[in-house]
Amino acid sequence: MTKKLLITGLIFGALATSCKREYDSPPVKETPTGGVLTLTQLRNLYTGTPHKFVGDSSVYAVVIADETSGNFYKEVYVSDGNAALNLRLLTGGGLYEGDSIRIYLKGTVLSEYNDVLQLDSVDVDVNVIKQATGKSIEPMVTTVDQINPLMQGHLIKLENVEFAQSAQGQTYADATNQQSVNHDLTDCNSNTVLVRTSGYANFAGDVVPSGNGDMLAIVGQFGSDMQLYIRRPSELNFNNPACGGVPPGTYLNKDWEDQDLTSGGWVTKLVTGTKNWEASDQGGGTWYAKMSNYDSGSMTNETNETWLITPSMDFTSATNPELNFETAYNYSGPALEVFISTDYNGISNPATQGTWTPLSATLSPGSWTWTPSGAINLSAYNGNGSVYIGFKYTGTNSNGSTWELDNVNVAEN
Amino acid sequence: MRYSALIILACSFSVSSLAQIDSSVTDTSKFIPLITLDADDLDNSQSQDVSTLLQSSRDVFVSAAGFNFSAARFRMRGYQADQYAIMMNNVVMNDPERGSAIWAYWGGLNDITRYPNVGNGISNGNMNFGGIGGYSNISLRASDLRAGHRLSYASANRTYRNRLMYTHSTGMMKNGWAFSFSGAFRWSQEGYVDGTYFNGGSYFFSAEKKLNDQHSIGFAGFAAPTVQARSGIALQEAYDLTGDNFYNPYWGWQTQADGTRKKRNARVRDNHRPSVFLTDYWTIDKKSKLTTSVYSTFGKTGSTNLNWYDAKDPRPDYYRYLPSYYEQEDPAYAAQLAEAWANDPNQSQINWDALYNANYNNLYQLENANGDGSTLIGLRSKYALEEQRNDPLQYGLNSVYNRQLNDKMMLSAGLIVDFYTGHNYKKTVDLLGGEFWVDVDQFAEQDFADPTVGQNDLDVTNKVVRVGDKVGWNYKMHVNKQEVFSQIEGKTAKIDWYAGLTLSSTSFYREGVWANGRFPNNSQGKGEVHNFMNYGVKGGAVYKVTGRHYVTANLQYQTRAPYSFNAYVSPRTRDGVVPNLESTEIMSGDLNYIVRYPNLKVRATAFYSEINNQTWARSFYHDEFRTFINYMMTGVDHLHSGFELGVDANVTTSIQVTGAFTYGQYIFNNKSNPVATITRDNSSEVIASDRTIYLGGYKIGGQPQTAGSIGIKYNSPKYWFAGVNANYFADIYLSPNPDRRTAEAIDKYIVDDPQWSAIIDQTKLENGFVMNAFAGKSWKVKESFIRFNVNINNILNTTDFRTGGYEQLRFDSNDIDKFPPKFGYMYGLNYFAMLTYQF
Repeated sequence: MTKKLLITGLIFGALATSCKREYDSPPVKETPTGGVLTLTQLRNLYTGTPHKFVGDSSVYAVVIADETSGNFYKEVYVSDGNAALNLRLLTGGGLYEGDSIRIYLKGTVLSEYNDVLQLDSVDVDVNVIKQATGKSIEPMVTTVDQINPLMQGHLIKLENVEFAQSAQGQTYADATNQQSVNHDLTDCNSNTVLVRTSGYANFAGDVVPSGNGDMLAIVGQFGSDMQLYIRRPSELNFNNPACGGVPPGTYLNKDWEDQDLTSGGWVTKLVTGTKNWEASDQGGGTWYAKMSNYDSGSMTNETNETWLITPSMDFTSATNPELNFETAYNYSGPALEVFISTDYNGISNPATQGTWTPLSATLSPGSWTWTPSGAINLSAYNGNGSVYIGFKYTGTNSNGSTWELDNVNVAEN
Repeated sequence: MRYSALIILACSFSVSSLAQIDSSVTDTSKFIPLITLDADDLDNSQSQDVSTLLQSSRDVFVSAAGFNFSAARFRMRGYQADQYAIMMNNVVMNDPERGSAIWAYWGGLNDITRYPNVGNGISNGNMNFGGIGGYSNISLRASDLRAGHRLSYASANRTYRNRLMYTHSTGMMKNGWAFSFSGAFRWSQEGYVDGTYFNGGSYFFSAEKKLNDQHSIGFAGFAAPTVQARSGIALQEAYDLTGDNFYNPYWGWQTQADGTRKKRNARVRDNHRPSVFLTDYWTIDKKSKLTTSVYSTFGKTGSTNLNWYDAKDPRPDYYRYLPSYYEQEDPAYAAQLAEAWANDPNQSQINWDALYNANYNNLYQLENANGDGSTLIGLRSKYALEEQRNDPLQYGLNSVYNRQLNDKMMLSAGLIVDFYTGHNYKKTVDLLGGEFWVDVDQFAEQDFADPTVGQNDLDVTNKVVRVGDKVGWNYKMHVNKQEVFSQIEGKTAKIDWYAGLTLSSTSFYREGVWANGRFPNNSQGKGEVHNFMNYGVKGGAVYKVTGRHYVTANLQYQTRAPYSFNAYVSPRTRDGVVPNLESTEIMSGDLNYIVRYPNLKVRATAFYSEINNQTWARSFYHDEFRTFINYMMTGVDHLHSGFELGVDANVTTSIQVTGAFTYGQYIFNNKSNPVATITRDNSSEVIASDRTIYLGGYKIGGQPQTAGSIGIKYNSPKYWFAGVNANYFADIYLSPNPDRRTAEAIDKYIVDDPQWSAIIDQTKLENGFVMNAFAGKSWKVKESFIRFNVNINNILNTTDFRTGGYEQLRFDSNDIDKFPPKFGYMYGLNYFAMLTYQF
């Protein structure tokens, strides 16, 4: 009896398990090839009005720039060595640099956007058939003055170029507000071209390199402006002395003359209170950063802690970096403090995130006297890929100074 | 050989939906309260506190309510499932991580679970302190189960369509042994809702040996292994486009090798979670006994879902695939989409063939595969099917002592020591035509240039995942509890009374198996241990006005440790609980008037409960912060008050009239508002803290707060019965999305702007009216019985009654209707018919 029960139980147990449904993989859906065009033939199909492909035809190409760094969004660039093209994707993702692909053209649209020829409405899942990976297309070596609309979409190599003075110490783009930024690139012979970087690029918050050297870029265009897009910062090798006025090895240079408190990737972090740093010139025409915890309306001071923090600086190959800045202040209150961190994440509250080490600097004696900080050697932080300097303002509900900060510069000595 | 044929037979039956209304069959006179948490609520965190079904018949209100209100997601007094204790052999079966008991874990064992010892609301229980909602204690003791055979077959059109059940119990035999066995299959090729199926087996075995006059030892074990393809609720737009209020976004067609198409569901639950008990029944003397069990629960619970990498969202009802998204900018395309939604299942359902083709085409070169520097070239899946697992391992000891102190007083005391570990992880179950998956987080890759940040398992860089491998997250949640309770009951001529006390210690902690690239320092290893000391007191009395009229009152006050499920910010990625994590405070009281005549039974009750200091945590995409965030509320206070009336009258010897009515107010307490903390999911950044959520006065959603039922039943002296019930449901609300009830949400608008109230007003659903009918007959053939029962619910076939839903947590304050609520509808006409042979 017992045995019978046990056996029945076991059968029921066995029966009850693993009754998941099974499915066959659907057969591979062969995408027809149809007529094969070269990229050059494809580009020539454009005659001024959008061309929608309705029949079977294909083009072969290699992906030369993808979306991985975030500098491109829902678009990639392809080339076959002779011609190149911008592909606009219905949904981002799925195409990677080095992919050798067949583009099945049915359903896509050849059109122009601000004078850039593009293949639009590409559905990667439907229109792209990968042939191989790891293929590369050699960059086209050229010079700044030769960049022209015929090079659209090409990967090019420029030699002996550098960022213009106006870009020195600035970040590639505005990572905080996720805004794109254009910087001038120059060849030292007064020829310039724009380098445009998306605020969503994962290197948007990095400071552009100083110095002179060679670089790889994708050629773009916006109306009559030629633009370059960087695939990744490691493709800029600006290791030679610059030809312009800026000494090589400038990590940061901010004078607030653009009247923008946080341009170049600076951030403020209000820890306590409501008053915050602002750009100011007190009508004098020379701009700087300023902070006070005094409310002129209520004629009271508020308890306040707020930080003004530099963009991330790369000291990986630094040798003897130095910090210089100037301060002025008036009214009694806690002194401005200067800190440095190698593990701050650039976005969080600095009072709770990051290890901040105080730096010793000469500060203003008061009465609005502008005072240089003296050169502060930062070589102790060499080798760190992400260095931040933070200026911390503190005020209480009974007193507080007005602090002014200007000409912050970090550079190799 | 014979057995394997059986297995194939059973599996080919292919089953459909859960024990949603399982116990509503059987003859109504034997109903006892059951509580079912619909297993569909398990991994839909939005509705996880929805839908407990209550079925009963000893109490005049509970029987009528349980039988007729369950389809409308009615919950007794508005309580969530964690306020009820479900026990087996005195052992609490509620899930330690979430607090609720999942009836599906023993679905199909109706012959065993049909006769529990039950308490409704605050009540005396001599085996456990119990919750304010009540308790059920199911005996698994072989000698308690009625001797005989019982074979039944049921046909239905709900989640499953067929049920075959067989139970045999020996009773205590002369040799001192008692055995009981029960087994069941429940299956459907397709359930009420398109694309669902159900394959469920259930087994139960119990043996008892009487050692001597004092000791008897029992073993019992059971499980209900279940595979269920599920249904999900959708936007009204999707229902309108498809013309089907039971549109199910979870399935799609998949072409087979022979060219035919098969319906495939992406959300398949697969549970097998056995529990075993070894119990010593010790009758110490005529007046006292000690019942001690050691027990364990183990096995797996899993549910599949699609994942995708660097590709478009494969869910057909994603908001960008709906016509409404294009209506303003491109009405022609919107019309084209609407047409496709109406006619093309590749648009309105999952397009499996397209997912496979995308994977077939995605040749990929992975550098530094598995962190060993090698290069892997192959088809990297953009789409994969993953199973989210929660595998329990629980064991413990439960001992209950009962002693009759004298004619009038009885003492009970108990000890519980419980250890629980829930292993939470994901497993890849199908690469959908691809060759591998890479275990990295796409969002972290986009936000951080450092490739280590995106690694889900820092020990293996760029981990190559194949079918059967763990993926995504991997951690264990440990919950340990020790509890002692005691109760004393007394009886006098005029007054019966009881008083109970409980003391407990609960601790829980997270143990990360993997180190996560976003949180390298607080994701691996044993996390902080959180300890809570809790207590509870309760008491009640029955005043016997006469032998027919009673007045009773009950009070309960307790503190309870928070559930780990609600305590953690984001346990999948890191250790760390919500700020100011505190015990929940529960206070409840009720006052009852009871009438008991042979032909008239009435209960009228007023109740009031506060459940304060609860926590709430969810993760979702936040449009204001433009990132995936963790949203946590603390200080969530619920207030439940209301009135219940149950009447059961035998108008003649053959005509019985029943009625049940309840009016409730289940709201977020006005006294204080919850406070929210918002953190970025990808980093430790706190985006907002101390954000006041103005929830005070909002209704708790997900159930009718007012419900009424009136029924009439004819009992023929010829052993048949038939009846009909009319039911009305009102005051049904959707739970408020906290983020819409903040100063920040309405910041852009002025009070007079209609959008102001559109943002903050609570969604109220329309009232519903439903009619049910039932009938049954029994025959006695020599010593055996044959019974036939049928229940037909919603005989008017109403298919437009919304019983619930949720406000989407995602909210765009610039376009307030961009993410509208999702709704679920009550099934139209549905039936359950059963034939039983008892011998």
